[in-house]
Amino acid sequence: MQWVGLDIGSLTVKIVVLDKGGALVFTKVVPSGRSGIQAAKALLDEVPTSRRFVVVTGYGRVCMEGADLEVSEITCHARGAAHLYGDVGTVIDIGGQDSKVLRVEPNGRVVQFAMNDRCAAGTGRFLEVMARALDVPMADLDDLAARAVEPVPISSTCAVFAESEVVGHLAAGRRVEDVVAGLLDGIAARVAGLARQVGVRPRVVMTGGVALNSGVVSRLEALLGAPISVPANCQVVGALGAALLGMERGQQNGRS
Amino acid sequence: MNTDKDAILARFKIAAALPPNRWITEYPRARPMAVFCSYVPEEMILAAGFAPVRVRKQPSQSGAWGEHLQSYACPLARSLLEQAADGELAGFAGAVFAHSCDTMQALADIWRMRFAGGFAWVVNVPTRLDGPHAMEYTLRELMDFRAALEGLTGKPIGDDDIRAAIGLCNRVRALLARLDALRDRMTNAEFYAATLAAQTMPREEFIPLAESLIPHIEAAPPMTGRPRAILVGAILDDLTVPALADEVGLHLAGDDLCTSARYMEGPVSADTPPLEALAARSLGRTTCPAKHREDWRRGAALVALARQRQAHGVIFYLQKFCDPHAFDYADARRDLDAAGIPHITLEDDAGPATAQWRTRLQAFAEMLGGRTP
Repeated sequence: MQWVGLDIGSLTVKIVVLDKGGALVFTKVVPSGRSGIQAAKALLDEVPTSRRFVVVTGYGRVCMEGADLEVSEITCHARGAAHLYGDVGTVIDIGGQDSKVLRVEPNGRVVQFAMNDRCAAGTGRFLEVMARALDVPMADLDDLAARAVEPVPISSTCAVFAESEVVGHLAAGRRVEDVVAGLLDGIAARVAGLARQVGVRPRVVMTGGVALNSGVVSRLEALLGAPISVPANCQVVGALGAALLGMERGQQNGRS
Repeated sequence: MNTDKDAILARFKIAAALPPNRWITEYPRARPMAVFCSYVPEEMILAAGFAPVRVRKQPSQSGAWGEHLQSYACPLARSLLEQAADGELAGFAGAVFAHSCDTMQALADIWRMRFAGGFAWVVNVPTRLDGPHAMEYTLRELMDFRAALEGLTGKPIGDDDIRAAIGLCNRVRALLARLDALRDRMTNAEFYAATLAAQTMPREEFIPLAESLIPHIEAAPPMTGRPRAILVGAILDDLTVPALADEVGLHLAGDDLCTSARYMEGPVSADTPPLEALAARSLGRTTCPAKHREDWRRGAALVALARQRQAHGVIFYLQKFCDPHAFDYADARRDLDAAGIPHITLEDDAGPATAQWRTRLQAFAEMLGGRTP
C-alpha cells in the first residue's frame, strides 16, 4: 500500500507518495495550468500502483473524483509541519490563492486559524501579478528586494490597485528594486496581521510557495519577532500532511 | 395539502429562495409589504391586511444602487436599493424599515426621495433599549405606525385586529421554536429553509405546513457525532452557509441571527394592551448589535449560548461594512477566547464565496471534531 497526498492548489499541484511504513518515495510539483484536476490526474498516473490510498486537499479537492478522502488544506499543512518539526506552534502558509496562519499543537492538531479574506492581498497570486507589472521573473524578486536602497511603501492591499500604484511609481522614476522591497514589506505586514489574530507561538514554520522568497520570510521574522523555520520542500508540506493523514486513516481501518 | 415531509421541505426551500419579483405569482391571494428588519412589528402589517415579506440580499444585477450609495455601504443596503430601482418590488404595497443602524436610516431617507409616492415607513426603536423613556417612545412610534398604515388602507386598525395578528405571529414563533428544539433531527439547510420560509410565505400558509412537518421531524432519529457550532450574524440571505455546513458535517446547533433566533423570540403577551405588548417584545428581546442595554454584553451572551447548546465553536457570518456587528465582533472574540471557545469568521459581500467558505467550514469541522462539549 502507498499513501498518496495530492494538494491541488490554484497555481501548482503537489504530490507526495509514502510507502507502507511512511517513508517518502516520490514527490513532485507541477503548475496547475488551465486545469488543476487534469494536472493532478497526470501526476497520479506517475504513481503506477493499484494499491494506494489517495487523500486530496487544496482548492481543487472538491472536484477531484476517485479520492479516498478529502481533507482541508488547513488540517493538512498543520499535520505536515508537525511531522517535520515536532515542536511546531504556528504554521504560516502563503499559497497561490490564500494565506493562512494556524496555531497548532505539537501533534499537528489545529486549535485556531485565520485566513485572508476574499481578495488576493498577501498571497502568491499578488506577487505573481506584481512581478508581471514590473516585468521581472518571480524568481528574481528576492534578489531585487535585497538591492533596495529606499523601499517604496505600497499603500494598496488590493492586487488590482497595487498594480496601478506600482505602474505609477515606475512612471515616476522609482527604482524597480525599491518598489519590489515595498511589495514584500506589504505582503509581510498583511500576513503578520493575520498571525496576530491567532497569536504566534514558537516554533513558527512557514509553508507554501511564497516561503521560497527569503525576503518575505525575513520581513515576517522581523515583524513577528520570532525566527521562522522553512522546510526544504516547503511547497509540498500540505501534500505530505495529506499522505500522513491517509496513512493514519488507512491504518485505523486495517489497511496496510 | 400535501403533508409529506419532503414535499413540505421542498415548499419551504422554494419560499426561502424566492426572489421578491416572483412573490406575487407564487402567492397570488395576498398583498405583500416589504420588511427589512426583525425590529419591524409585523403584527401591525398583518393587522392592516398585508403579508409581511422579509426581503433579503439578492445576487447583484444592475448596480443601480451606485446612483445613491457609496461602495462601502453594506451589501444589504446596496442590494435592497438595487432591487427596488430595478422594479423587483413592483406589486408590493410598500416598504417598512426599522431604525437599526445609520446605513438603514440613510437608505430609508434615500428610498423616500427616490421612490416618492410609494409607502415607506421607518419604525424607530430606541438605541438604548433600557432608557427611562424607551417604552413611552416605542409606544408612540407604534401609534404613528398604526396611523400610517390606516392612512395607506383607509381603514381603521382596531386592537382586536392587532391581537389576532399577535396570535398568528405567536403561533409562527412557537412552531419555529419547536423546530429549533429539533435541529439535531434536521439538516442545517432544512432548518434554515423553514425559518426563511416563515418570513417569506403568507403566515396562514406557513402554519399548517409547519404543523404537518413537526411530527415527521419528531419521529426522525437525532443525527449524532457531528461537531456543533453556533452561527452568529445579521441576516442569512440564502441557504449557502447552512448547506456548506451540512456538506462538511458541521451541525449548526444554535444561532444569533436576525432572520432566525432573534426573529422567533417571543411570544408577545396576549394579556396586555397590544401596542404595549409589542413594545415590550421589541425592548426585551435579544439585543441586536445595533442596540444597547446596560446589562447586555454580546460576548457573554454568545458564550452562554454556546454552552447552553453544547457547541464546540462559533461561526461569525458578517456582512462586509456592517459597522454594528464589526464593533461587537472584537469584544465577542475576546470573550470567546477567554472562555476557550474557538471561532471563525465568514465575510459576505455581494454574494457567497462558496469555495473559500467551504474551506473555512471544513477546516473548522475538522478542528472541532476531536473536541467534547
